[in-house]
Amino acid sequence: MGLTLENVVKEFQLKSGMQFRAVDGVSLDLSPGKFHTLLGPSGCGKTTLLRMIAGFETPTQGRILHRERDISQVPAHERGFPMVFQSYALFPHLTVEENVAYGLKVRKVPREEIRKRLDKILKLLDLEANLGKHPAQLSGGQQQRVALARALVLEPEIILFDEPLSNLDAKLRVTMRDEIRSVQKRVGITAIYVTHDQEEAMAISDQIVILNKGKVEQAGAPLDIYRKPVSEFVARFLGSANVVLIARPGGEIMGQRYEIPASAKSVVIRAESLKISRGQGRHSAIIENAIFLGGRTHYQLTCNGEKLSADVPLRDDAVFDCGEQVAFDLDLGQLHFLG
Amino acid sequence: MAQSDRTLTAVLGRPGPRAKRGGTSILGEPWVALAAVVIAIFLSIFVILPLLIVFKASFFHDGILSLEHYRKLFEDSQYLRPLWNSLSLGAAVAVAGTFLGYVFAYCLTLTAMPGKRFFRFTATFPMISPPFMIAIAVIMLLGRNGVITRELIDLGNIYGFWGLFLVETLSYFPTAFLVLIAVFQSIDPVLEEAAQNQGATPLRAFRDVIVPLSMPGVLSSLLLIFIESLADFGNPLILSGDFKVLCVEAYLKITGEYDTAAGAVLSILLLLPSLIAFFIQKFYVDRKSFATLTGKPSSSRRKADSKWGPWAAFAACLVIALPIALFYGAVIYGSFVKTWGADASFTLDHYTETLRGSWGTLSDSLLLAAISTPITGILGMIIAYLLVRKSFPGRSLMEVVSMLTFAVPGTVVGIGYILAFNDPPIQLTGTAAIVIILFIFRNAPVGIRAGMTAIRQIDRSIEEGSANLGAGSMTTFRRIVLPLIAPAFFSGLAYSFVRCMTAISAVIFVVSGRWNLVTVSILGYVENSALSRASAMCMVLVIIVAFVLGALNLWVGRTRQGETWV
Repeated sequence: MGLTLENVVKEFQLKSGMQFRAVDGVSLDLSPGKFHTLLGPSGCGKTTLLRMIAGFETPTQGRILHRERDISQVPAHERGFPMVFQSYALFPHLTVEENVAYGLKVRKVPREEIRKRLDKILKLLDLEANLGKHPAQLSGGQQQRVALARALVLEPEIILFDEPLSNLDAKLRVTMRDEIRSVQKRVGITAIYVTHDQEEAMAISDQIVILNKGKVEQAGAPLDIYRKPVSEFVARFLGSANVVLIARPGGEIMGQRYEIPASAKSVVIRAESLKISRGQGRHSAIIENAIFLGGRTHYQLTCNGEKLSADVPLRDDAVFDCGEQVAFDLDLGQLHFLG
Repeated sequence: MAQSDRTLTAVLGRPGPRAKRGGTSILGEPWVALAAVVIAIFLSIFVILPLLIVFKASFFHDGILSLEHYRKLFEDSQYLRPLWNSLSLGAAVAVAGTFLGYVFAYCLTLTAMPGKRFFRFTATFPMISPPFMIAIAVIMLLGRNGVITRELIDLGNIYGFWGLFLVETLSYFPTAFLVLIAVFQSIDPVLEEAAQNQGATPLRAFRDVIVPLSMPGVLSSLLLIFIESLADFGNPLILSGDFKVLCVEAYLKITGEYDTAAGAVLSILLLLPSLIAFFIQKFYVDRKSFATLTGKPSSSRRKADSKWGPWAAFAACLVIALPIALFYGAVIYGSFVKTWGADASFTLDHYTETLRGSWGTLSDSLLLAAISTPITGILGMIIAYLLVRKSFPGRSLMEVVSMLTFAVPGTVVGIGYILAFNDPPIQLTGTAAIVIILFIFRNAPVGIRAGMTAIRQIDRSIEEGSANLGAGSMTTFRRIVLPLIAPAFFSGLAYSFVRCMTAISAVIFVVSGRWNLVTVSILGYVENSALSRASAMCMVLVIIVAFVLGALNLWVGRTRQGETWV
């Protein structure tokens, strides 16, 4: 078994004296060898959760189990879950080589063994040319790789990431993201990764855990969560979705009657599945705004008083102007209902 | 108080980012050129000349050039003994003071210790009080007739090395505290977490990360405290007993035996180690500090959970703070009793006496401080501006000279002033001018350094942006540059005022019957064992200083809301 969280709660004392629940009863299974991402807006408790796993915070309630052993009181230095920090947290007074070797030295690994592991990891992360440099002499991407090497060189079972890419520029972020994912797969390590970037989460994860106000909203494979969000929050947080209320008693969506399960209260319409055209359709809408994004165009429209967005791939016959009237149909089979 | 805090940090702490050398030439700007020349002349007369005269005096014997005094130096223990005493005391105080400052600064910045405001307050106390206030308390409590000596335990003779060691350590540890707090604040706490995350125990993480990263700060404060201890005059005068130190010996030689040459030689012995320490600090340690680096500092400064850590820190700080509180408490208490050690009945006489009998020296002190402080502040900003933004021949020299007075022990300066300005062409002895000038040039370095840091932080593009929006260069200076350096200016003012009111080592040589200062007069009461009266005067002094600093803070706070300070 990997890592299991059981009803974990973390409360902080605020300056005002109030108790603030940063993490509010989280239970999770983080299976070995997989890439797990904790995703949510800022303040949702994801970083606090990660810090509890790392041992920097102690849960107020609940247990953290590693191989069925409760580790929630084990101090940080005995946990053995190396972390890649948001600010990298490289030791500024040590060279790249000393930084990466630090954990091994602390563990009193024999010198030849350290040498061997260093060579391997520095090669894996393409850092051989920077051995003797200090962190301040490296670019952001290189610092990021040193931080990753420092964690991986310990050959841990679990590696933690705290928004590691947020300090990189957009292009490098994508490159590093892919690099992290491929290294994780090659080494077969369990990764627990915190981010607020939903695209990053979908690109990298085996499992996404969506957190909101300290609670788990939904956990599952990216595609499953994307297709079958359990709540409006998840639907809106992941990708671009329209969530439209269903009018009862008739079961109408934007003024049109559909055969809808009785329990459904609203419907999720993904922006890319809203296929607008100049032809005929059950619903008609007015284009309010068009945002050209290259390969696709993002349209904002109103239909029966409802504000919708639609993502339309770039085609010659699908370029609409503001104020233009368009039509669309809803494919009931592709829709996802929320209870 | 927070004011003087920032000031000292600005001076003693790490310098602001060193801008590229450059700046516009002053040749096209006659007013700027004139200012530079005038300042250069003043610095030569009031900083360089007195030092040269001290040098000269040490090389003359009966009016002829000779090495007589230096030959004696190696034969006569009247020179070598004080030298050895001063150096060993300085080293011991530097180590102990740095250690205390280190503990304090670490606990205040990197732990979740309770009571931080209280400890911060304790540490700032010795900075705004007269330098010998703790010495007075030590005599009251541990002296031959002290309360603790009589009632509890006799710790032996407090006059000498150990008494001085105790007093100076407590007086000067705030210097280390301020230097190191700046260093610790620049260390991202996430580094400690990273080390623990890598498997290091908290202790090991401290050893591997915090210690090496704070080393430049430690060296810096060792050197600074060494300089301060070497220059300390008030405490040894009261407490040294048979333990002779350079400052006091030089003073006694000059004022007691009228032996100018011997005083000059002792001054040189005092000056050299101070200067060496100053230049090591300035040119070596300053540059060695590690850049705070990589990425942005982590947003969370939240300290990791630890059950006993904060309380251990609290206990450690308390051990340091309690004696300070005890000593200051003794002074406060002592100021309200009839005769310390004999008659403990309550009285306000010492305060009424202070306000009536010592009003002359108090008002002299205030008047001279009030005159010299604004001049010091403005001069500091002008020099800072010239040094950072203008280029002219001899600029580096001007920078070093203008900072020099910070490192030169006050005794040396005082001796230099009486030797240099006793006779025409510049005859100033006995005037208010000599005190004011001494204050200005001794206290300017703080304002200059703070001003330089502030001006360096003003991105040229801000000035350019203002010009780009159509503002003339005068408008730009008035509306953009001035408000931005205002905090540094006020810091300079605050520091200068505190020093004017509390300093003694240099001014004791230039005060006169007409212009006396309250610190000198307090020292007189201590020497006459009128400890309660001295305590009351110290208290009045501290209250005045605290009041002025508070007013200054309030005023600055009103004009510059939400400003991030230097």
